[in-house]
Amino acid sequence: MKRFVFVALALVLVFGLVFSGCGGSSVKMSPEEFYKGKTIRFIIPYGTGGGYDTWGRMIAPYIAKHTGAANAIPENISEGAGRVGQNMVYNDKNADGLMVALTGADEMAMSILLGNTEGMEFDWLKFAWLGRVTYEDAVLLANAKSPFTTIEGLVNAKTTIKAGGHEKLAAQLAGACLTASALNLNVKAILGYAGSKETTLALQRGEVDIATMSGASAVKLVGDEVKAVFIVGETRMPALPNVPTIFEAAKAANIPVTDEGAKFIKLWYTTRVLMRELFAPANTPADRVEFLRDAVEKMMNDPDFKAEVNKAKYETQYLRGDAAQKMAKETMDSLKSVNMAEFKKVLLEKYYK
Amino acid sequence: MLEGIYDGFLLLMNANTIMFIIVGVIAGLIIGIIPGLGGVIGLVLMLPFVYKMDPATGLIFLLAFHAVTCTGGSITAILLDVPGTLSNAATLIDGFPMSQKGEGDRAIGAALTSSMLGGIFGGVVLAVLIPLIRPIVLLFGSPEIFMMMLFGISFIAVLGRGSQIKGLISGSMGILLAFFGYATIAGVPRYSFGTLSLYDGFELIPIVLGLFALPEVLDLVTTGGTFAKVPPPAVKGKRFSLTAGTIQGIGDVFRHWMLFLRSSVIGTIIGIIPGVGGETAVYVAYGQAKQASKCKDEFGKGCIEGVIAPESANNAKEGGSLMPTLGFGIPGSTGMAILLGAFFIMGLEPGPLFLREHIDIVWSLVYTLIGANILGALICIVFAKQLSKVSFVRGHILAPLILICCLIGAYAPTNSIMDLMWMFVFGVIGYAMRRYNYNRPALVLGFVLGPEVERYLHLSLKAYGPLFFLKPIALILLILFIVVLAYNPIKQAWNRRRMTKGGLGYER
Amino acid sequence: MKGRIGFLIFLLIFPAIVYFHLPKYSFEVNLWPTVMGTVLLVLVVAQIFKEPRLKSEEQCISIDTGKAMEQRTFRQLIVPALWIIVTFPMVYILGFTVTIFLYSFLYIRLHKQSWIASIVIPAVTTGVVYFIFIMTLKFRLYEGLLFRFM
Repeated sequence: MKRFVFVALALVLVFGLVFSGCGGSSVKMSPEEFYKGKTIRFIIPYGTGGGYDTWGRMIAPYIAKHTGAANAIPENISEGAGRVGQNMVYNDKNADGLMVALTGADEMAMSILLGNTEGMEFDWLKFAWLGRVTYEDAVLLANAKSPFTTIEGLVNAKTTIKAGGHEKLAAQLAGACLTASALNLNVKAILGYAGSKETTLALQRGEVDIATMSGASAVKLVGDEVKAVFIVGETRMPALPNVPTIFEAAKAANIPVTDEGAKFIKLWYTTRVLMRELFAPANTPADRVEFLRDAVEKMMNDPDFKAEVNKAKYETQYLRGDAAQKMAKETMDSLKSVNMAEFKKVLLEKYYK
Repeated sequence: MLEGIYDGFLLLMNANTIMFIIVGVIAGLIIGIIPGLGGVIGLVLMLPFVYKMDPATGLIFLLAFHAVTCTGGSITAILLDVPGTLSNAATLIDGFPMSQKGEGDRAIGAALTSSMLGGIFGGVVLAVLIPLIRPIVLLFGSPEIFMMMLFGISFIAVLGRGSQIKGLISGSMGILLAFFGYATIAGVPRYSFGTLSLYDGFELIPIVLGLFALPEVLDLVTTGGTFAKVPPPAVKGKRFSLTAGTIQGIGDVFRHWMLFLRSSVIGTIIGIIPGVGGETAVYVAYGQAKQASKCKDEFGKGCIEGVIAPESANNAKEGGSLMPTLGFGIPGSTGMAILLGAFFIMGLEPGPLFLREHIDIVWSLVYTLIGANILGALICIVFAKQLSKVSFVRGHILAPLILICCLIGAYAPTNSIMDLMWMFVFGVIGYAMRRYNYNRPALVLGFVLGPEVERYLHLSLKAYGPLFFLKPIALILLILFIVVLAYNPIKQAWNRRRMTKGGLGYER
Repeated sequence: MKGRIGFLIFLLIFPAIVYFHLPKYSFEVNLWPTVMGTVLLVLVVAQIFKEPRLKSEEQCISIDTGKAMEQRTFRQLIVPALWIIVTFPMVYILGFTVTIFLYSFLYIRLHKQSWIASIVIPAVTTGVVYFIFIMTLKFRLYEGLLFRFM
């Protein structure tokens, strides 16, 4: 029996040495030398098959390519609606630059604004911000057979307008609620669809009348069954050049927009441009952070990457890490001029009867 | 539409693609057979391979892989009482008792044949309905889905295996367990005790592995014995020849051809409805098989019909679930969600435009579905004799291997160590349930369907108000279900009346 | 019979959790869990009353196999159960790859199977897992606390 225990312990030691590579040293070397041949963990704090997952799996090989690493392996950690993955990245004890995450800072901003910080074990501004890959404008879609395909139709509605979505803070319902607040609409928000795909089906079926969808998925939906009414934001979408913004549409139809509603939409927009950010753990050494930022920039300009993005019919909206971080901080400062209690009420309570 | 038929066939007719279909099928069978590694995880693991391939080949490979996982999984369900994939969870109800009685090869023969024919059925239906995909999927809204799920959940009472009250206890437990975690209808996590681990609630795979696999492993460790409680039949003949039992099993499917057809139809329809997963299809099929059977008391003890029904349904559903996936880009099942991701990565976009522009790819997928099912079943049947030997392998060799598969299988879906802990917790619960004769499949059924019934009821009420069940299709479904569920009790009561009236006249 | 009643009492934890959380959530969120929790409560209580009246021979026939079950005592089960449960701390501390090799080796050896089996099977299993997951699919398996600190 003792012999076996000895053998077992010996095996543990052998394996430990073999598989851990005897630990890392902290000899100072340049980022290029450091990354050469290494493996980067590419964390996606969401489930497989979603937008972040698709983007992440597209991006990972290019991160490897432009840092000189041997590979970047995507890892989905979807527990806790993303928080577990985000916490893990933030608190990474190694913080050696071999961990990168693709996550949404827009959702973090909204959670902080609304006071839903349960489970957040990080200060979002202290992540190493490596760059924004893209963000998506939100467009209000309506079922083509409903009377709500124009702004006049919405305002003159004789029945309750049904809006559908997955979560209160996701674009589908948030955009609808903000629109309702800006134009004084009688909207009933229906929460509980299993995701944007199911909401889409409900919209096409006529089970709900409106939903706000973002970016690429919205563009693909516009057609015979679903019409785009307006962009819930301040600028038009390049992919839908003929669709006016809510403000332009209101002006053209002589419909008043409430002051507070307009402010809310602007605030929402400033959080939405924080989507799809690449992060590294908080204490990553500064030179490696810069190196990673350069790598991200090279990736965004890489013709192969651009070709893949085009193939998937996506668009990029690159912003360098430090600029993104700065923008995030400004968003937080700008909230001082907004009536937070009312903002919260509009998004979370008012239209959920 | 018709041009695609020939072009799609051409897409398949090159050595490269055929090779990938064969590799995909073999890989799918292996992953299906290994408990814990079926369905979605398998597809995710295959994704990295697919990036390097060209779109049509990659999709064909993935579909070939996916179509046969539940074919392979039936073997594990029958021989080891552990579902190889979640869609095989109903097969073990009668499949395992059969293998205990030494009829394992007959069960496998029937399961494989049902799987193959069911898959072909689903593929053919898909082919025929391609022009009608969009209108059909649009017919099923929240009220209709609610009705389907209500029907599915009522089968908790029908699933057999044990006393009524205990079955209901198991089912209610399953439903309650599913309520832990994020409640989509309100946007709050329920009963998570503030932990992030329970924020999303319990994961199905660790539960299934814990409930079914761990008690079996405990048995193996305790006794070191084999799964089969009867000695291996002395089989003569060549190593790959079919046993008499297997041939009987194959014949059983043809003898019960009406059952097979009904189950395949159920599987296909449930596959078409996005949102109702494959796990539901097998229970509904099993339930209706029992209702309609002339020997319903045999169910749960090793009745061949209880194997044919779920296995036909779980392969047929793949053809059905391709319909919303291809026609709308909306996944008909979790496996399809991954497949959809693969579509996007390859720059393809399922939807009405896709049905017009890439009709050849659509048809090639139809052929792949049918071909993979045939190939998968044939490979398994040839190896059936070898595979059934698993249940005669020494326990002390099998136990650590199965345990390792469970460990990986519980970890893989979410990369979470906590899920391993839950698997062990459910292992203890599963052992107790087995020991005290509580119906474990009922718990799984309740877990899968419970929160979905709540969700679709909520959506139906919010979107259409309390009279939602009066919508035409929902109403038809409701009437149908009442008829089917009430049929047996009413028939029994009627027979009793006839007996006493007819004056056999003895008193009780 | 003690075990049966004990299990039923364990099941009461679930309705208890539901009731305990009643004040915390809105009516809609509480509704169906409360309904199901109450259903479960009623059923469990009914079964608790039914238990003493059940024939003990019937209880020994497994509903899964149709045959008599082994009646195992706690003492008989404790060591095998530990053999299974030990894998959890092993994976947590040593990670998957090491655990797979070490555990299958120790298990097969200590259950008196041949030396050949106890080397070949762990080696093949670890090799297959390593090849499929780590080399080919580059799927990261948990590495264990021990190796995080090395």
